[in-house]
Amino acid sequence: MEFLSQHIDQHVIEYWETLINDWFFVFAFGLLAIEFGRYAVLKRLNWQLVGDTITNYITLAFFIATSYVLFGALYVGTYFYAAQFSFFEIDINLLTIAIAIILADLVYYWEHRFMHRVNLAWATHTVHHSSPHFNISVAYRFGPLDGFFPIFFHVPLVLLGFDPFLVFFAEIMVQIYQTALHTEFFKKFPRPVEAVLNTPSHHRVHHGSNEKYLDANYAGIFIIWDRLFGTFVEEDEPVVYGLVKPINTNNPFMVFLHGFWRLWEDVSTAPGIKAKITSLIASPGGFSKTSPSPKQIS
Amino acid sequence: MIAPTRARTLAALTFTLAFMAGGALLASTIRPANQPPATRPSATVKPPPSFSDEKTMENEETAGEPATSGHLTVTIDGVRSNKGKIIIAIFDDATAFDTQDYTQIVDYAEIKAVTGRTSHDFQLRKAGLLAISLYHDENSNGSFDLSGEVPDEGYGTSGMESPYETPTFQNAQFSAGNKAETHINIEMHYLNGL
Repeated sequence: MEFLSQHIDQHVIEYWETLINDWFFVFAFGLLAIEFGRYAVLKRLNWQLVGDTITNYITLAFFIATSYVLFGALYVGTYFYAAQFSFFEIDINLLTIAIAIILADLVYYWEHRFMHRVNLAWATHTVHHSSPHFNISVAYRFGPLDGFFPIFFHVPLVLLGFDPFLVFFAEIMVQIYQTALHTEFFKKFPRPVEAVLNTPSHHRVHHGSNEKYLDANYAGIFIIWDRLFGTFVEEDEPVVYGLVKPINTNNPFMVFLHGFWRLWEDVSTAPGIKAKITSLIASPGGFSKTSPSPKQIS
Repeated sequence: MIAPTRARTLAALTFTLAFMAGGALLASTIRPANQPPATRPSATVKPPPSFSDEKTMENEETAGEPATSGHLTVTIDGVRSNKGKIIIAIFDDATAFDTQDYTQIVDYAEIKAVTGRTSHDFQLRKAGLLAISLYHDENSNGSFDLSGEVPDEGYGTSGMESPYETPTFQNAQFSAGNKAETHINIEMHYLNGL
């Protein structure tokens, strides 16, 4: 069992992360082909769906561009600056990688809940939820600041003593796991699996605009966080994907920026400075999947 | 729509903080199998040797416990010039070797460069797994010079099969000290011209 605690170099971790992330991206195109085969069989294939899929990858390109330009240096800088103040001294090996992934998953739960419950963060995350479809390409549909908020949620792991490379690796693993859940292909897995792990079923609920499915199932890898913290909802009625207030467009610029446009509308129409600040930090209206009207906030 | 109560959310946050601290504490107790615990007294860590002062190490050797585990002869081939020095470092710790951490070496020597073949004898203090890394400090500046990631100066390690692979303790290790004499041959590799 010695291999479990065999030291692993941080550059090896970085290499794995890139390798897994890039190959999964390629693999996802295979999954997408299967999804389209399924749509064809079910006679659900149409140009709107094709446009939606292309737009998903265009938002990904926008996201990567903005992330590199705006947050790449911030990410690296923040992590390595924080690493000097690390509390524990934590080695990189298979056991600590496992612990880091579990903790990063718990952190992801809160980051994700924050993205849904704070209007400013929802302005970016709404992009991911704005597709009326649910397939692997939707997982790559990102908003402009989707790379920004996670920094603050993961820095505590660096402060606790996890190597910045390890934290980033764990973040990506959680992300990839969740990416794979974006499919209608599997109905439900055996009960023990559905009890512990996040599954396509649980994540379909998360993407639902059905009233009972709102603000549920924030999990990355383990659904137990939702079960423990009271945000779990079981899939028991057909899911209507997308936003409560749909955007009805595949224009990539509109898709990418609609959240901030809606946020601007809320803030600019809010009466007085106090109401403006409230409209930035309050939860998105009575319904999380649409932007709030100022009346709903006050 | 599901909405947890404020009290439940506070409890969840408290749980999260405790869980994270506990997880990090647990992770900090897992030390690598191939590395001593972090709590080891710093007194056993040797100060970094100064490249220009070989005497420090020689004195330490004679002042230490008597030599008991035989000789190690390192033969270096393919040295391209008489210029400068050859720095030889002996490691017994995988992490130290993999990171080329010269503060964690077991022995070290600085010899005058001789074109072609040259060798050096080490007195071993105990038997065990060792790995050697060396480089040809042609300009005698006390450091292994690189252009970007490409070495300007010759280098080699025990067990090295290709100069293009990152040296690892795993590949470089050999057993020494069990018999009176151990011989190790190392080829000096040069990737960049002068």
